[in-house]
Amino acid sequence: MLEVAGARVELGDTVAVDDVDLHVPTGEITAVLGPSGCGKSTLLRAVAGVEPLVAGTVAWDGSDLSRVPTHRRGFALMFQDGQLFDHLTVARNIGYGLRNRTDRPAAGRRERRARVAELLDLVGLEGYADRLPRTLSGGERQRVALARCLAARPRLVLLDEPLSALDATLRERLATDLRRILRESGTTALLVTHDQEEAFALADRLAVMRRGRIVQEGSTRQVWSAPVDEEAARFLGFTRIFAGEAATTLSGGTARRLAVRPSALRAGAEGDLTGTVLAATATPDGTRLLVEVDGVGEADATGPAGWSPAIGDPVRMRVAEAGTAPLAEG
Amino acid sequence: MRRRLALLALAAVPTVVLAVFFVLPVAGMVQRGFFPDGTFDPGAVIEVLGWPRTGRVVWFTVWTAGTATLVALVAGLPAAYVLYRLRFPGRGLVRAALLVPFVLPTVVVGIAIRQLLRPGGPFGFLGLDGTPVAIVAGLAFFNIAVVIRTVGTAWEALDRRPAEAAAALGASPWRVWWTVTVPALRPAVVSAASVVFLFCATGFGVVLTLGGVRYSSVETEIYLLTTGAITGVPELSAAAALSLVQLVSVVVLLAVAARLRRVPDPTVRRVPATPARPRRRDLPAIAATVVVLTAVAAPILALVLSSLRPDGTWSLAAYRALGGSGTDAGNAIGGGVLRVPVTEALENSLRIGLDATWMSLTLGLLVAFVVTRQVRSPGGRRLRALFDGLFMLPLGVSAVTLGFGFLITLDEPPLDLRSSPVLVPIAQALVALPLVIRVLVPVLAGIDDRQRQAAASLGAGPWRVLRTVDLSVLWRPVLAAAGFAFAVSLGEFGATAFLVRPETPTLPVVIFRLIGTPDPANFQVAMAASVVLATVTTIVILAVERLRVPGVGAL
Repeated sequence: MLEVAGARVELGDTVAVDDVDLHVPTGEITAVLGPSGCGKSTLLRAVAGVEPLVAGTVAWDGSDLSRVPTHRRGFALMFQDGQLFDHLTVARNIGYGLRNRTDRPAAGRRERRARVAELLDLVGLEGYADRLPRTLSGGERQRVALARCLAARPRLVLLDEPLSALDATLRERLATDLRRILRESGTTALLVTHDQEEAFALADRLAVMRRGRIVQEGSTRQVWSAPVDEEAARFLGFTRIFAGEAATTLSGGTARRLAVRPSALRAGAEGDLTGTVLAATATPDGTRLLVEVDGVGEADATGPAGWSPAIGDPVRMRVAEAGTAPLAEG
Repeated sequence: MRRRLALLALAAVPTVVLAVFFVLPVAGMVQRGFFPDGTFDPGAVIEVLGWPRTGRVVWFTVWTAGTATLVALVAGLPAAYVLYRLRFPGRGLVRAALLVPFVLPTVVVGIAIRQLLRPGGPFGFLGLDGTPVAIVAGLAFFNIAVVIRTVGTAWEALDRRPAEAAAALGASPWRVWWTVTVPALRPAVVSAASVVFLFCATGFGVVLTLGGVRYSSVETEIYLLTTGAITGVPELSAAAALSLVQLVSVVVLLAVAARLRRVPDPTVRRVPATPARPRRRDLPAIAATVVVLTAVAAPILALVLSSLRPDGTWSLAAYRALGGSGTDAGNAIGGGVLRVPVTEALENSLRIGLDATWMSLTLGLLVAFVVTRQVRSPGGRRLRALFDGLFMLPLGVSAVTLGFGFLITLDEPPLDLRSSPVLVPIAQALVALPLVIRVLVPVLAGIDDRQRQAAASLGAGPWRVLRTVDLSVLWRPVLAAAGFAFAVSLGEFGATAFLVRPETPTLPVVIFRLIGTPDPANFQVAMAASVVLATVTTIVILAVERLRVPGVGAL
């Protein structure tokens, strides 16, 4: 298990990582989610050992790694844009880590070749062994980068926004693959991202980071069903925060402050809430509405696909509880 | 279509200038060798190539240039690391100061080295004065700066993430160095080495002042043959033969260097590293850098000190003598070895330098502009590459060949310019042109074409696009290139030595003439003049460095 305690990193005059504690249990995928510039990448780099800690420790299974140089930590770091070695073929990129490990005898030539083939197979790039990185597409490069990380069976894989350089469809497909590959190989992983979808798709555990600090940590489900505060809620995809009467109405009396996702209000023919349509956008997956909800105020709602109400139409809505999260009163 | 015509028109101006003032003289020189009496007769050339002295000269050129290149590389690499990857106070100053040896007039470098090694000098006990070792030292001296800047800027721009990725994959620092850093630096090292070899092999002033008639490289041999200094009679076909040898080797070398220069993958976004604080493991590199910097500073310091202590006591006598025209044992005009006072030569140098600057700047801007335009057809692209390479040629063609070619081809109507004072600045402008282009092209090429498209889509006409997009980023590089051209012109000696008229000599020519006399008083004056020349050049170059144009001096 990776344990980060009291970590502090300074970049020039700014404190990028401030007193951060973080746990990454063995065999699980943990995501650090935060807006750009929050220090998450710096935290990842500090764990990898390429950025020095000013204070605090990074430890693996109880042994302190703070003074261990990067190449002896037994971690592998995957960059946002892969950082493949341009001058080496795909196979030699992947095989790079196999000749490095100091904790076990270097793999023989045949063994290396077998492992490279195994990994190419794992990431779905059979037959790419002799290609040069510049001839690959963005998605293929990320697969090679991932294979390169996994080749030497590191005890921890560090992923820096592994999918954000890719376009939307590719991102979705690769996210599924990435999770499967990490699961199948039983790899412990720490991932940083600004994209909540990416975090939800990949991670078992989630830590929300803001301005150099971790503000919330827990299982993915725990975190998104109970954000620690309004700002965290907004970052997790809750678009509206209601307080007082409105919150009571929407939560059925259980919460005084409530964070609400657009999918929480289901508009249709029935429901206990009534309102008036202010705007409507039809999409193939459903209709997105802006509604003036009686007793609540302006809110987002979703309706069934193929339904297109006119502005000013009355609607009825019900609340899907999974789309709401109670907040502490603040 | 109109755009293409305009582009061709722009390209025509520098092409015509290059044709008349470069291709024609060089061709004339070659022709003189192959057509000694108006009919094709390669016999003389072949005969020259068979001379034992020619073989000795070529071998001497190759081994001194090769050794000097190696010395410059070995000395320059640790300094490049320290000066471009580490952060410490005074770094900018040291980097700026390192530009000075690069543009220091070669004659001055020669004198400075001699001052250090002459019997009675600080290193006189080594007995190296007048040996090839002194020549190698001199060549390495002003090329270390080229290595440091070329490799240093590449090293500075090196993305640190591949190295981090390798380290995170378990590679030891040593393995990271060999598998990631060295391959990434190789293009810069190769390009530095080839340029340095080129500079060393065509180095004129250093070899002439340190080697005299005894040790001769191809370049000085061409000079000695054409002036008849070896046998008393000018041997033009022999000089032409050697020029030809040099021309061919330079073209081959430039082509090979261009091949070896790898283009980085443009699809990968690069993040340059921020310089780090020095750490314990940097100590060897820092120590090496200190040694190198001391070695570079020593000749200059020795020069300055001894110009201030002409007779073992502090005195400004040598500087006061700058107003005179040197002393001569007897048979001179006006009592001096020179026709004009040294101060007047300085004025000439500055005036000629200004002319050379605007000329090379005008040509350089036109070339850079044409070379960086988007060309769609493969034919157009090939034409553009040819055009680009053409203007790199003056970098390698012997300045002596150029100067001599001027004399023999531009001497009859309609181009009878032999006695015209305009020849000197033109020749110097051509020598400086490759440097000017190398400063301007990366800046112009670095402007994203979409910026121009955005400006045009917002309603800006071609002129407004040029003014708001191109010129707004170009003025600094233009100033820097101007400073460079000026400094090069101030120190230019090879072509100038041929072309300058006796009544309007430039400062390097005067210095060379002064050290050619046995009178020690003249040597003192030459040293004072060298210090003045070095000071002017240094001021210009430090001003250029203040502009902080990336890639200045990185060829």
